[in-house]
Amino acid sequence: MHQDDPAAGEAAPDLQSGLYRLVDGRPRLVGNRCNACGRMHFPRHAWCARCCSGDLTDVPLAEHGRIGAFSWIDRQPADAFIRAPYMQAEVEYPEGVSAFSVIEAVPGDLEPGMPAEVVLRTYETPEGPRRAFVFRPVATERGQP
Amino acid sequence: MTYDSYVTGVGVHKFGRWAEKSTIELAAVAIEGALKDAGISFADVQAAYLGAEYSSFIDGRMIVQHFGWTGIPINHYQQACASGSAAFREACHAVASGRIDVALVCGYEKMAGGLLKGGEAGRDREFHLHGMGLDVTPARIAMAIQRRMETYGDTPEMLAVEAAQCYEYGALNEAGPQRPPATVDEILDSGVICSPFTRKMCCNSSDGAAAAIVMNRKAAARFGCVDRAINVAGVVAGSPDADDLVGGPGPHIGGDFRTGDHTRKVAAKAYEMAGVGPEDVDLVQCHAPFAGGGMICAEALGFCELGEGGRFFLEGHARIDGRTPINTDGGLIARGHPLGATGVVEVYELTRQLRGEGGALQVPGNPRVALAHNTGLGCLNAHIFIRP
Repeated sequence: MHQDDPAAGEAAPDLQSGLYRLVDGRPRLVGNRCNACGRMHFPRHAWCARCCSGDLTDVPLAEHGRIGAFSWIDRQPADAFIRAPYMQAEVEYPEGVSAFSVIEAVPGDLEPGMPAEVVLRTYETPEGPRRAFVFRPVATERGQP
Repeated sequence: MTYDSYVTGVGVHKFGRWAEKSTIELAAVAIEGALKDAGISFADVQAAYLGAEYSSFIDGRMIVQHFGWTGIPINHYQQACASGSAAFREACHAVASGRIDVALVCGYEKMAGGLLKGGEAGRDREFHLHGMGLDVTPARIAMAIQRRMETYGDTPEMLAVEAAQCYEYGALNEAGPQRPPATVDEILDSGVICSPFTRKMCCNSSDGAAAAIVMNRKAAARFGCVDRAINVAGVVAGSPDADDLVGGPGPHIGGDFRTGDHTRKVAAKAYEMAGVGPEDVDLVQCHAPFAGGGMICAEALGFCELGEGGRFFLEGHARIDGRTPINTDGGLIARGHPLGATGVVEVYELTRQLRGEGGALQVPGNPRVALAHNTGLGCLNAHIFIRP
């Protein structure tokens, strides 16, 4: 487990270990880049998806990504802990990868291209609280940057 | 040189909700139909190739041995939505190699209903996916379609037109649940599941089974099936490559629905193997569990340019009397999508069409070349059928 992983030493277990890290107190997604061919990955791959090299270096993704696509889900997935309806989004990062998660928004809030940032949320599950990263559109908080 | 595999018999159990029937009962009807269609006895079958995602090998063994304990190899393929076409592919390779002469293929599934998802939260190593509802299948594809709307100007109306064509044909397909036709407006107004998909743009939850008998030429001649045999001239499979991997965490199924690149690569190999091109294809069965899937395949299989798939459907080119009919049996949306059965019911529909047995849904003009496309979590099988 990475030293500044937010789950380290905390009561709430975090099955996301390795998807994000705290950088200056703020959660940042972490990918990795292949040192042989330059292919970028998120989440981190042990072996490069393109050239199969095992020589990769961790790269924290930019603080803000761009909303590439989103979908409003109005059916409850049978065994998910999140309650429908909810929005999920694909957020594109300048490093050349996309990340998928829930985004805190309702229909009408989002446009492709809007900036989004990562925040951590805790979900109640039968095994206790679990933390995960979700997105939040930056525009609704601070206006278009 | 012609690949030495031929479909000589097909059978189906009508798709629909069959709560009171077991998968074994469904599969038995399909297998009996295929044996009868080929004019052979189960004693002539030298190996069985089964496809199912949720049903286990235990079911598969019982299904086969329902017809007799003949000691043949029984193989079970689990490849999500493409389990049936994976079983079919391996049967074709087995008879073409001469290792066996007669293979039975059967795909079957009973579906639970509701959203298809990629895992179970209860045994979830990646809470981020299942626990947070990120693995619901329509959502990733919905987002891929939304990106197409931005890039190519696809519209909800185009999606609804593709779905309406499915319902129109599905109502006439006796092998499907024959639900009533739906208009473009009814489809658009049927309530959001995963935007931009409405309920009627998503495949219905059906149970079902389909079966095929595959032989090499020597066996087809021995059993007197040559006249009705359909050559499987192209048999190609592939999994997503690094170009399809846009990010994560998985499941990585969205890439191909965005660009069709993976379908394009596999189809190119199938065309090469069969010695035909997109211009030769008379009809298609493609994997379109949600509206837009047909549009993407029309582009990726080479029937129109990239970004023109929506117009291809709007202008009627995918209709039975169009340039390249797509999903003449109502497709996954109207015929239903019992996962393991889907790849084999594609073979059922194309074989009947190429024999001129399509009934009310028969493609005119004596079709000779057909293509089947079936994908399971991005792992894709493409098969080309040619009437000799």
